[in-house]
Amino acid sequence: MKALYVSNTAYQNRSLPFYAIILAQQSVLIPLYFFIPVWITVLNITAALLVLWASGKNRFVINRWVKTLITLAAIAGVFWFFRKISGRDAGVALISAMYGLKIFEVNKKRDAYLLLNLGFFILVTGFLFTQKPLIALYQLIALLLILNALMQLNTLGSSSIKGLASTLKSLVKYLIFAIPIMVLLFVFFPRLAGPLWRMPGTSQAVSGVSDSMSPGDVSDLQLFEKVAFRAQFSGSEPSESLLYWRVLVLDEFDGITWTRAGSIPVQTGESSTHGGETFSYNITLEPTRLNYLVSLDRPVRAPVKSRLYRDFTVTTKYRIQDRTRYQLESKPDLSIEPTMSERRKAFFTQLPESGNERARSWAQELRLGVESDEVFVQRLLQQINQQPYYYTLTPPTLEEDIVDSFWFDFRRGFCEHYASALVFLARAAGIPARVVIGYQGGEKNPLSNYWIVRYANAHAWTEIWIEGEGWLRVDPTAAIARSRIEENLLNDYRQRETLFEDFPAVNLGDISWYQEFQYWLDDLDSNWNEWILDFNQGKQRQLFSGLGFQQIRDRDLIIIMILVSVGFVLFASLRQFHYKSEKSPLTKSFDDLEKLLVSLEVIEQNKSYGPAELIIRVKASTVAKKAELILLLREYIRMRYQIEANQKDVQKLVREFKRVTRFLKVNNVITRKKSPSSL
Amino acid sequence: MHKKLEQVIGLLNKIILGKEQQIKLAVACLLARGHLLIEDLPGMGKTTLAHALAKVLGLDFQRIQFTSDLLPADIIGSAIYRRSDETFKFHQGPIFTQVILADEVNRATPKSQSALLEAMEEYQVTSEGVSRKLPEPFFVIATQNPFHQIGTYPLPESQLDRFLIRISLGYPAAKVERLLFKGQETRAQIEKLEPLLHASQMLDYQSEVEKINTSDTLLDYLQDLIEATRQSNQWLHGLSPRGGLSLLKAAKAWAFLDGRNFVLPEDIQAVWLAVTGHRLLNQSGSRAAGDESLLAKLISETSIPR
Repeated sequence: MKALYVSNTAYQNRSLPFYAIILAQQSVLIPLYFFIPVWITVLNITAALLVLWASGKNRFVINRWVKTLITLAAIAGVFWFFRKISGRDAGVALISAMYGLKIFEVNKKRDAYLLLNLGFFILVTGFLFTQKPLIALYQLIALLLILNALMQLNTLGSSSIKGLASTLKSLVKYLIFAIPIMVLLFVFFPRLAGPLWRMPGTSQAVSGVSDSMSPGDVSDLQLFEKVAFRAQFSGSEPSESLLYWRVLVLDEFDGITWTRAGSIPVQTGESSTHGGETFSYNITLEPTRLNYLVSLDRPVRAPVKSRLYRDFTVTTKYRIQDRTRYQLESKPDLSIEPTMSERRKAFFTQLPESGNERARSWAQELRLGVESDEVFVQRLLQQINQQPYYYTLTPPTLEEDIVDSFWFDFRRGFCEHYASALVFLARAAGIPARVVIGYQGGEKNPLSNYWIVRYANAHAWTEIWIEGEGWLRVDPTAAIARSRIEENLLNDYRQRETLFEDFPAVNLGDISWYQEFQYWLDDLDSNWNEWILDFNQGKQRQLFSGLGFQQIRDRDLIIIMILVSVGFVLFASLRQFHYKSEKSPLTKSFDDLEKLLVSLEVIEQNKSYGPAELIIRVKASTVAKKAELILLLREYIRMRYQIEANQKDVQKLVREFKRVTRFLKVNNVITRKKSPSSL
Repeated sequence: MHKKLEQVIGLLNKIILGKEQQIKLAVACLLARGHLLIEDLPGMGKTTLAHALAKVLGLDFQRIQFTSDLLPADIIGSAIYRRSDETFKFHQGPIFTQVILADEVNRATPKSQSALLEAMEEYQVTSEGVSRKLPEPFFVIATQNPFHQIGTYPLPESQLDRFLIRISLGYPAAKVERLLFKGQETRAQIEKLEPLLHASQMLDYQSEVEKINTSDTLLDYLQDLIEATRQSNQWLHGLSPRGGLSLLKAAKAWAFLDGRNFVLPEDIQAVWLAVTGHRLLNQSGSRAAGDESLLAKLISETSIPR
């Protein structure tokens, strides 16, 4: 019998699936490329391309000494760049460089296995830099690519090249096998009480409002879209005009900067709880590196492990280094200090010895001309509204007597200028006043019903004390006439518009798909943080006690974990092996073809048909691709009965089988459609 | 197929009409160094087949008519005293030949039967303490009447096992029979036959058959079949290892006849009935006519490894 498949040389020379291996390797490295020096990226990619090019050639070997030299150069390069080779940045850079160069070492199957398995570990280093859900999503893709390469490596000798869909299918199958173990390890792995170590070298990010205010501090923040905190109300929600998020109160002024003089904690029972609606909510605060907690103006009592101060700021003992979540209750209509001692009145009216003389005398004059403090404040707001006061993010630089030059000369500024000026003028007129810093507004995530407040929402406003009423919130910025707000400001920061408008409600119908995607992303981020990153010892314990295990020790946890995962792996692999021993790829593809021939009525369903008999039947039939089928069956006979077939030829035959089977399937559909019996 | 063997079979088909399958099996049996048992009624052409086979293959031919008074010496031969030199000289019996037709083998006593059977297994005979080699190739064609005929000693299973292949010729088809009536007398035809082969060629073929390749897949199938006979409760016993070996040998010869150097499952299927039919006793201990259908069923139910 003629050998049909003269093994073609290209096929024989095909050794390792380099495309898949390099794809996997680079996919592991890509997230790291954003954090390591560019030259390592270039080096790695060059190495990969070189190997890819060489894999097509026969016998292209890089000299061992050249390899050693490159490796040493890379180590030296990392040291030169960082002046060390330990620590997060230098360490990861070194690992990435070494891993990138490792591709040179891949000559045999074993090397490829090593490279790919290393990939699983190196994948984790990405999380040292960022722990966003999107990177996790990306890592999943990288994981699939590693698995793909492993699969190609494993099926080198026995199976055929699959299509994308079926490859993906089997990859997902492997991942699904891994999911129970992953969940198990995640839930049961003993957590340490605190973080294992704090990552050195993380840069100091913007951290929201600071504990002092000079012109520019808050408005700088307004340039950041970063999330400051998220708030979710349980029960009723306040109207948007009440969304003033209080962070801290500034009551001392040195002429330029407002600072917090310090306040005394509210004693239990001291705070009045009467009046107005109560809103309860929880806040997930991003790390601020400050002691202040955000609360909706005005908090009734402090959450656990924090204190409520008399100026109604809430502080914690430690700086907030991690994302923190707490529960709060607020009454927007709560009155603070309806009566005030003379000493405190004096404190809240004190001003620097000198400076801003024009403002002082102007205020005193105005106060004398009106009947009450309230009217005085009203006048100030009218002044802002009616005189040409502008809201701009690019005010002229003010150096001396900033209140004077703002209030009388330039009349342009942003919230700090207005708040600062208003408090200054009130104090000059002998009215207790102070600056409040926090956030105003926020956007509602319509998907999950929580409020996202960003740094862009940072705001400064004032509180004026009125006899009998207590501290009243006065927001001078809101008094600016709408026509005098810089147009581009309105466009760029649409959310600020609410400050100047009459707070129109969020129109959910108007959300663009992009915005919706943003909300979705934020929702994901929020859940990711809450359920994945923040799954700490406390939450773990809470879960276990919820499951009915009150006192479970770490040792027991580890034992349970090991037993269950070993059991699962054993079970899964036994199943896999069992399946494997049942059918070889050739058998399977032959079976498929046979089934198809039965359905085409070329043969009857009869397992005792020998292959030679099949040939006779096919010859007698009118099936499409008859000649090809006969050749295929003859080749099958040759491999099964005549010779000791080598794996590569078998593999090739399997491919041929699949190809013909596929063709016949398609053809089958067509002939069925054409068949007159269906008419 | 080998040209020579093709001619042989073609020629035999001209003499024994309409029995292509049986003739092919008979030739295969010979190629596999096996012995042939033809079980049929008298007058079906058993002797003709044996005779023609021997003639065409260019082999020596002897015929022994087994009767109830046949003695072993009548088969093997005996030492006879020679006056002239006062010694006993062994006179070879009819068994010292290349093809021997043992006609109606079940009519002789077990004692005589066993003399033949020793020769079949050992390719030698022992007389007066001296073993004598039989010529090569050595091929026994035994014919047997159905047991319900009077005065027969049925061959025990142990001895039936020695026959590689059992065939029965059966009645010819009407058309074929007409041709038979119209044609020449077969005896004359056989006389006129020219041998197409000679003994040494036959031996070459036999050793070629032994070299035929059997793959693992095929052996899987073979073992599946053997196992099926052992698991089934249709038969008293399953196929013995020798039975399995016989199956393989016959299949090899069949493949050789088809011009292949490897065995296919179809080869096993082709020789299956002829090889196993006389080896498997059904539950009542008899080889009833239903046997073949059971065996055919077994083949159709055993799937071929893919």
